[in-house]
Amino acid sequence: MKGLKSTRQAPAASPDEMLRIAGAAAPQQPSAIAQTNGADKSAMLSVRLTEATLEALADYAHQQGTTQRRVIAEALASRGIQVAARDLEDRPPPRRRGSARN
Amino acid sequence: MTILTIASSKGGPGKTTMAELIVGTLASQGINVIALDADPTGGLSRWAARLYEGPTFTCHHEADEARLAHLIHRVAQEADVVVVDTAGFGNRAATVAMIAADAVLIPMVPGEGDVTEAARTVELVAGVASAARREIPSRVVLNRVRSSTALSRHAAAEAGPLPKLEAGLSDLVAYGEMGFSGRMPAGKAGAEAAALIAELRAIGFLPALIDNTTSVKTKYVKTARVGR
Repeated sequence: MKGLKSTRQAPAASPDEMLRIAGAAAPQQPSAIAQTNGADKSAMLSVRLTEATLEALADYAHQQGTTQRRVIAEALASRGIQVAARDLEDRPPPRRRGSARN
Repeated sequence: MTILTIASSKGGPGKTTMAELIVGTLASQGINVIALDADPTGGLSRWAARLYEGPTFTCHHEADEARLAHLIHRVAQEADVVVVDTAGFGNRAATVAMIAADAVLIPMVPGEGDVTEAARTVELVAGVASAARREIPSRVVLNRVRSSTALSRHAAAEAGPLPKLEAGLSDLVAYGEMGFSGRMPAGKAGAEAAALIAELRAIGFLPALIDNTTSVKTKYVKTARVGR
């Protein structure tokens, strides 16, 4: 490996300071990984929405190259809801619904 | 030691692709680079462990903010460059990665919602910098650009007031292939990656590469950071 003439050997803030600043700067933000307390058994949620909404969701997920499930999970997480890490994963493989019109 | 965090409050703008490109390119140049995957989905770390083909670099996966803070602090003392990939929604681990960063890169794809979210992320970095009482420069980098389309031109115009890189990534299959093959792109995509790295060096987001023609060895020196 090639060397780097560095002006600094450590980050500007200590780990504790980073966490303190994160809490102060964005206190409403959730942790990236949810504490599931062992309740990680998967279950179904059936939600009735208009077809247009579902089409828009399918199109968006397809455009992003991800799953509808992950789009929903990220939206929940962005609202501060604790979402389990595995719900944020791209599994199963992306559905191709909506791609027929492309 | 330089810490570059790649962040966006929105999913899908190409953060992980950007991280793969930067880390792979730096590793191929012989730079001691460490990648940190702070996204719970683990896309970067999976790519690094299972697919990447090139000079070795270390990649850690840690999305818990407390453990990430300690990990950044530790690896920063071991590497010349640390690249942190974050999750695509506002979360504590991403904020910690911004606080630790020397600079933040914000990928943005053309689209109204994307411009709004990029602006939100720029504001978040500014807020974090203010709380940390130090300068943390950020730059938006356009991704999946089709320069001939009105949408891309409109998005670029809308993003005008945001701090933006000149370099960007086009909508090329080569970047998607990199995600599957683990090989760094060549051709046009390779040239775009080189231009991106060159601009990051020029503005101090990455250590500058100095070609010392009087010596057989190549030396790297850190340039002055933006805003300092």
